[in-house]
Amino acid sequence: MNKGRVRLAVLLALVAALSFVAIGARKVATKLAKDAAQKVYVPPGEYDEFYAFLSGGFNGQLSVVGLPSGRTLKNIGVFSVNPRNGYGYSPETKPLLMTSHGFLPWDDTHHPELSMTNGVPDGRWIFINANNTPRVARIDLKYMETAEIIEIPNSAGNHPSSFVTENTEYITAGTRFSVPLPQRDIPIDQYKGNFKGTLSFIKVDPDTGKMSLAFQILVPGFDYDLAHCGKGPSKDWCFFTSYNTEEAHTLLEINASQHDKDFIAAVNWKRAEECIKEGKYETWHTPYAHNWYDEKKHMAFSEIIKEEKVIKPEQCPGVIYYIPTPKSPHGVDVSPDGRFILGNGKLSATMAVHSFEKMLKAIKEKKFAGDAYGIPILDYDAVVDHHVKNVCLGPLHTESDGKGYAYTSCFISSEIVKWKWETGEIVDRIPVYYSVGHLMIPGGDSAKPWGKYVLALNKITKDRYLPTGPELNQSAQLIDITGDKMQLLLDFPTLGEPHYAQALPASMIKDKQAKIYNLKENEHPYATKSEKDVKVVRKGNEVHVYMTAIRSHFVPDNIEGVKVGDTVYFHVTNLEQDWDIPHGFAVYGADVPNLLIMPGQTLTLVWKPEKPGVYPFYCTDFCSALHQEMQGYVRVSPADANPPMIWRGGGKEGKWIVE
Amino acid sequence: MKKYLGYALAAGLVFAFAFAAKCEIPAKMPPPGLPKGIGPYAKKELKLDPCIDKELAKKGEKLFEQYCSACHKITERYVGPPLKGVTLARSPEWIMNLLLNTEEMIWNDPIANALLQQYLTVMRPSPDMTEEDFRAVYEYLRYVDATDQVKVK
Repeated sequence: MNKGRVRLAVLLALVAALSFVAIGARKVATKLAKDAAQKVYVPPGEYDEFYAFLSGGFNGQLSVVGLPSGRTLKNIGVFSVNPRNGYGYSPETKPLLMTSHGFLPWDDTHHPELSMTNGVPDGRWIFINANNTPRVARIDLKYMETAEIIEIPNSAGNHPSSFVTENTEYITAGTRFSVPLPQRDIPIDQYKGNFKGTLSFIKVDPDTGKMSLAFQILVPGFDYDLAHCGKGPSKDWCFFTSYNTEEAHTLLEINASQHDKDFIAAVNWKRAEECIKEGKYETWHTPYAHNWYDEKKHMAFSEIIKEEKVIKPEQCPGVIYYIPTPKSPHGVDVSPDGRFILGNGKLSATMAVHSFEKMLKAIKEKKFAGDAYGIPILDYDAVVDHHVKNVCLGPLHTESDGKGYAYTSCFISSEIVKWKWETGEIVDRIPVYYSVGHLMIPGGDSAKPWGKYVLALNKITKDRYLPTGPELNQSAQLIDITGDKMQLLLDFPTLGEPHYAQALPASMIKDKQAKIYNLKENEHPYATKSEKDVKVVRKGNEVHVYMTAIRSHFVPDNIEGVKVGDTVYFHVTNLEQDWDIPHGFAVYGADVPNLLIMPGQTLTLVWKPEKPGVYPFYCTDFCSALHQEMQGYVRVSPADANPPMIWRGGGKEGKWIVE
Repeated sequence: MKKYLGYALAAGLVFAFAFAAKCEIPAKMPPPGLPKGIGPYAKKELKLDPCIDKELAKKGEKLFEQYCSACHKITERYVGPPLKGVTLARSPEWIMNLLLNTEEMIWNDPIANALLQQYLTVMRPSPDMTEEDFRAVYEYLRYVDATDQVKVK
């Protein structure tokens, strides 16, 4: 055997060995992928285990997503108009988007929070905040539609919202962008001392869910970032993080990152209630809107309220304390047993786990390190219980699994870190793709989490999916947390930026879902409950069409007598009483989207025709084999014409009623 | 013995005639032996009174207007077939089965399925309707067939 042959043999052997190793590795990877696939596979016709509710961020909606499959089940229009069903365009839904600044078609949704009983999601409602023009919405979990929106006066950048107390007594709201309060015209460089924030508490009626602004606490002009309320021993308190305790008004990136510690504001809402009762508050008169949807009348209403109760901390000692926390903390999270309050110090690699018990003791013993505009600052060492050291870079938020573990999202190092609440000991890490913001475990901020999965809500997507030009959807990742090691199961894109999310077992609300609106109970003033009640009514320049829709015709389907200058109201009632048979309605040239009318529901499309002609209208939702035939015409005559005022449909012809 | 039987028969006939005479609106009965379809009435009989129950028909007329008329007319085709004559062409059991067990009937009963193929729209009785309500609508349709009137007077 010569040297060359030996070399060749060695080389061949090496290649064979290497390829064996490579094949082995691939086999392991395939096996893992298969294992993960089985865990998220929901066979055709079967249901997901959890309903998840993902905020839509700058898209302004709330997405309903099934877990573990990641399938989007519905997008609910909340603070943004929704062309799918005409939400925010129809006169029935438009009042929901009214504010003290008039009608607003958009906002930025951030933190959904399920209503709770005894600290556990109860499946009644879900709340969500609007960050831009401060508001909080309530979504009914039976209809999965927006039921109510309340504006928050004396605020801006409503970010530490909409977190609820243990029994949904209150929802939090607060000021991320402090402003002159009351609002006035002053130079921006006079920020310090003149700009203020408020921490607001919205009362929730335990039976109806109706929201009302209970009180606002006037606080120094820091940036109040996130919140969570206590439970168990800490149930009477809510906690708000703050940054920019420097009170910078420009280049905050640098100027608001000077202090080693900022504050968690601990608010005793029971104490606030006492002060309200004792009259220790000021009445302010900043107008704000309160809007609600009447399920029976199928219509939303809006009112402007001009009175709010403002508590100044100096008038109500004991209502608020500041807990120093490193550094520009973002999320504040409470352990399931309510004993620990965690500041996720965005700019610090070490997180402080505060003890609620120690906090009470420090307050009692007056262990203060000074005050900020009269608000006592508690001594850090007297309140902190332990630290989670070198947790990661950019810790933002923490959720719990109910088994003693906490899971922290890390924005800069793109990972989730699992650690023990009691000791701060880190036990596992998993990379996420990329730059995770919030994370969510079903019930993970409640007293009893369903600790099966954690959902990473990532800010940056990059190469995770087929590229779609410069703009990419955000990305969520589902991770199994039932074992010692976290296991990545699934990636799926999301609509808008899902800041925070909530989830609960599907079994809690699945069977309570409304399937139809009961036609008998429809009290819409323009409802047409039977084809024999169809009519067209002229009131001056207003034309009201009382229209019905059923597979596969509208009555009327011919309308003549409309003139340029008229405003036509198509009040369409869907006569179906069968699940999942909505009818759509669109008119040629209308400047509003279509209506999607649920069975038994009445909705209105308003149309101002501008040119004479004959214009078709049709059903936009494929409803039956004769859906294509579900169409009609409206004739528009010149303003000075004198056309016959008639309608046809359902084999009948009728004359208009002129009032 | 035979004699007594004869008397009894005669008395029975007299009684029947007297009863029939009291019938304000005598019903027209469907011929016997019509198929019953699939559903809760497949194996039982719906006993029909030879007289129309006008009150019940009146209730049925109202329910028909509210729940059925968007798809059915009496004398003309609409979304579904015209309903005049239906109580003579189909057994009462078949009609009740169609109303109470629609989904199975339209796919598996040969007559109902042929109608689906002809009209191409899936029939959906209102979920608000009870068996009693359906029976009232049936009485209304019986009234229509007995009197040739669409309105119960």
